[in-house]
Amino acid sequence: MELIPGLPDDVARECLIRLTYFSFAAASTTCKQWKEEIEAPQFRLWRRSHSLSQVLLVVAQARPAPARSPGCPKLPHAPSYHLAAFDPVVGSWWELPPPPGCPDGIPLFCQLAAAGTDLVLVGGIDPVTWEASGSVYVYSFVRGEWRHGADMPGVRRSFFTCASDGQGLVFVAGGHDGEKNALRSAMAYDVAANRWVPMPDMAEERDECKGVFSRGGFLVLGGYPTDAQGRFVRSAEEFDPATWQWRPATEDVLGSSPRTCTSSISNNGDEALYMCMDGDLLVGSALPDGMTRWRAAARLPTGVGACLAHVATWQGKVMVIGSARIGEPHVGYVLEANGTWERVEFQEGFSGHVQAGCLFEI
Amino acid sequence: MSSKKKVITLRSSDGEIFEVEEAVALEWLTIKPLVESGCTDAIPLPQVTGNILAKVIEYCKKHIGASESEDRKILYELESWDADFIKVDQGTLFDLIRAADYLTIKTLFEFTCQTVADTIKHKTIEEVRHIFRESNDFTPEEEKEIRGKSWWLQGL
Repeated sequence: MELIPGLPDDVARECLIRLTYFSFAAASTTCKQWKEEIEAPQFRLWRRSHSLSQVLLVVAQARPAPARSPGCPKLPHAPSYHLAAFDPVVGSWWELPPPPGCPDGIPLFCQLAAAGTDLVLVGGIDPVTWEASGSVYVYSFVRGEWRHGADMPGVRRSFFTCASDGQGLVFVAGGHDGEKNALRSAMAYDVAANRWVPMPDMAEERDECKGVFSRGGFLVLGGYPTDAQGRFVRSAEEFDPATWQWRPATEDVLGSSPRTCTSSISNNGDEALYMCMDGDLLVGSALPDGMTRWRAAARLPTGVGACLAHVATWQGKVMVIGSARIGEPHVGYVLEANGTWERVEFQEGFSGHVQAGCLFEI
Repeated sequence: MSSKKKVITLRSSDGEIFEVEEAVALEWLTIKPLVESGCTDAIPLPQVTGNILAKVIEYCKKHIGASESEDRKILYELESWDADFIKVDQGTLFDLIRAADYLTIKTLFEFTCQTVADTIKHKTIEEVRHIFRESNDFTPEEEKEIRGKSWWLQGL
């Protein structure tokens, strides 16, 4: 049976890889052959090699606060977070459906990872009980459906870091336990097998560290130990999935929170790290000896002066999201080739605080 | 050099003769070597009928030089010309894809494949099956399960 009656299969395939991701589910439900074709890992690779991948930024974003009625006493408002997706080509946002059992909002301070075409939401604080959660939810952009993943094993961990190799593994490291003890431990979630795989401990305790997947390894920057709360260490370590071992990583990062760090492949194919610190956007590139060297690439726009929430990079582009003053609506700024920032206004309902995010190339 | 533009002669599968400027024929990678060798005979194209070849030539003549333009007005006009050009029945669309594939005309091939992909946008599953003559090989249970869970398919 031909993929599309009337066309050779290789030509039919050229048609299918040009579908937009929001047509994947309808196309996969047309017939079994199309479903197999679209769900195959090769499908995504073809899209990428033909420059047909679509970029999508997914963030955990605060819903706009409900308007307070006049005369009503000022009540502390616990923010509710939802998942929103931004298409930088079209410049518009849309809301993802809530994960199962989370109609009133996703766990606060949860972590997000982009594992191929699956969005993996890990942990966070339950918005009702305020307990640290070990829940895992997986959203398939191909099928358009959520599923429950296996819970994160071990101690209930919060303020850990999480990053995917972009294929099927999601790495988790550091954070702290219920007694605020900083953790050395790490583990990996195999999305397809729905299974957690143990990893050796890191050399140091790293609460509020930041992990990125870069140059084939899981790089964990900074964090702080139990006895030095908030004093971020200057060290980093890298996990090599091939040897399943940690090794110290060298870089000249400053001793403050690395939470905005992100990795990206630039247009010329070089992999670089980006991070914001002290009002600058820094670019980190690897020296031949393996050391990461940071340099200031641009001053951050004043529009994200007080509250820099998130940094996203795709295909050599950089977007920072934040607001000029705490509590104000968030906007985006994209760094242009000439070094200036272009302001991106977000549509109504999508200007809340961004707490975590990950980037898809589908 | 002669200022007159060189013309290449093509013969369709049904024996129709067409003349195109050399610059247009050079974009067709399958016959490019023949054109470059200075062939003066009519080049036979046994896999393309006259009515399809006429459409292919019309598209390539319009696009030569224009696709690379950076003038927004030209690109906008080209886009709306393309939209009119591709308002054809599915049989003709598939014939154009096969011709573009056979002649290795990158722009036309990508454009026609994209048109097929765009056909699926905003269609119900039944419509897609009907358009592409695909038969539903899911069991009713399987289909119900997929449809029930998928957020993309709600309302489709």
